[in-house]
Amino acid sequence: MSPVDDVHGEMHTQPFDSSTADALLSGMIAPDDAPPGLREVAVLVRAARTPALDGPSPSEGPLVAAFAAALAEAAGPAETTRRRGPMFRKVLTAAAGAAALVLSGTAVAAACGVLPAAIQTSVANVADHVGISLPNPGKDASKHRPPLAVLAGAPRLCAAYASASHGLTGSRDVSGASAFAQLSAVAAGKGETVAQYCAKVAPHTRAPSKRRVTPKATKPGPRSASRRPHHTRGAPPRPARPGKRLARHPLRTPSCVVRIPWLRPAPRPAWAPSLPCHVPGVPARRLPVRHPARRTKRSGTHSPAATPSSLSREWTLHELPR
Amino acid sequence: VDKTERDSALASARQGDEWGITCLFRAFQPQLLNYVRHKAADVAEEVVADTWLAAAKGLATFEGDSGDFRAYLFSIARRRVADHYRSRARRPRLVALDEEAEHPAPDSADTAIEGMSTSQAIEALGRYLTAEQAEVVLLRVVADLSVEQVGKVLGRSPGSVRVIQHRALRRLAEVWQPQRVTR
Repeated sequence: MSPVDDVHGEMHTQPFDSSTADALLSGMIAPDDAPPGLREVAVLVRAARTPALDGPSPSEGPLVAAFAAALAEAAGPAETTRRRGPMFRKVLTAAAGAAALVLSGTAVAAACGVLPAAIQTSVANVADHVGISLPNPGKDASKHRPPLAVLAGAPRLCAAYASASHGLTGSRDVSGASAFAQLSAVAAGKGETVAQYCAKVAPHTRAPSKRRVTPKATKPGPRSASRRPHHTRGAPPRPARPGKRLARHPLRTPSCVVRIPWLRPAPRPAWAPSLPCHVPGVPARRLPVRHPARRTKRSGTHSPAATPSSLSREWTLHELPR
Repeated sequence: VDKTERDSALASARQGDEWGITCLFRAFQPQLLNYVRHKAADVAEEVVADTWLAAAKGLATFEGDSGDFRAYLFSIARRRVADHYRSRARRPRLVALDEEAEHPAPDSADTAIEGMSTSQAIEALGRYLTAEQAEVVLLRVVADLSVEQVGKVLGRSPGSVRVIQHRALRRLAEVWQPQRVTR
């Protein structure tokens, strides 16, 4: 550092020191008492020094009132307002994400009625507020109706019961099967025996002839009934084997359809099978199929092809957004 | 108005007393207005009003005597002036070419220093000093702040403030009596 730029050296080479400069700027040195060469500076500093007001100024009234109002306002809500930190927003976001994850899975399960009864009732009640009809075990139980599966499969159960009662099922004792127990309960609820009940719900069910079933006859062959194609019309349905459980998971059955009434219904595309909704209270209906390439008379152009995303407003479980 | 009276006025103003607020206003308003007029003459009244309102909002948490309140008031005013120029920089305005032309300060004063008014003296300080020197001298003279208080307002050390004010006084002495001030 050069001697000229040195702070202490610079200050000592001047005809006035730091204390004189402090006194001069503080107005403690009168112009006549100033060191030589600083008299004019002392006059300038004294002229620049601003005196206080002796009386009211034109802007005093409004500014004092605004000052008092701002003082009262600052003393009031300062203690009550408190900003929440970023950690609160993170926790809130995580909770919302978890709730959405749980609700999305719960909605799919609730649409098919496979949730436990208590949870299914709660979800159905919440969905009912927004106009979505879901299976509600609480409402169904209040009507004391028999299980829906028993009523739907009563003719088959009766046929199976008739076969079992005639000893055609081999050496197995099927009287204690759960399906037959439900059938007996339903018949007992109506004050009838199983035979009387089956005579009403399945009058054409007869006990098969006592033809001995050989293992060769049950062996599936190329012309056996088990290999018949599904388009065969008029063929009697195959009786379900009592005691055999369904291998399909309820969530994978294509018959589970969610209907949201406040969405505009759209025609079912040609590729989608017409499946009834098993939700009670919601009638299943077949909708006209829009062909992908139907030529319109007015424009002579092809209408846009039907795509699952543009036409489907009824989702099967396989199509539900995940 | 001495310091004791200003301290009692500050205590009364904290309680919302009108006398205390009026006393503080009469003690500091002329100095505040002259300081802001030097930095932003066209919006001095608005900046001073905003400064008082900001001081009122911060008075509940303010700690100190009337001297500290004076420094607090001028630091608010200085920030308000900076905000004004910052916002004006975002809004370009049309100006005449001669308005923006630089006018270099003359080497010697061509006006008589005797009989200068307050505004003329402040204008002379701004004309012959650099912005940094004029800032320190205005805060020391117009705002009547100590070296330590000026250092707090400007964010500088007291030694740095003393160096700047010393150079400013030397410059002023050179302007009015150049032949008598030697290096």
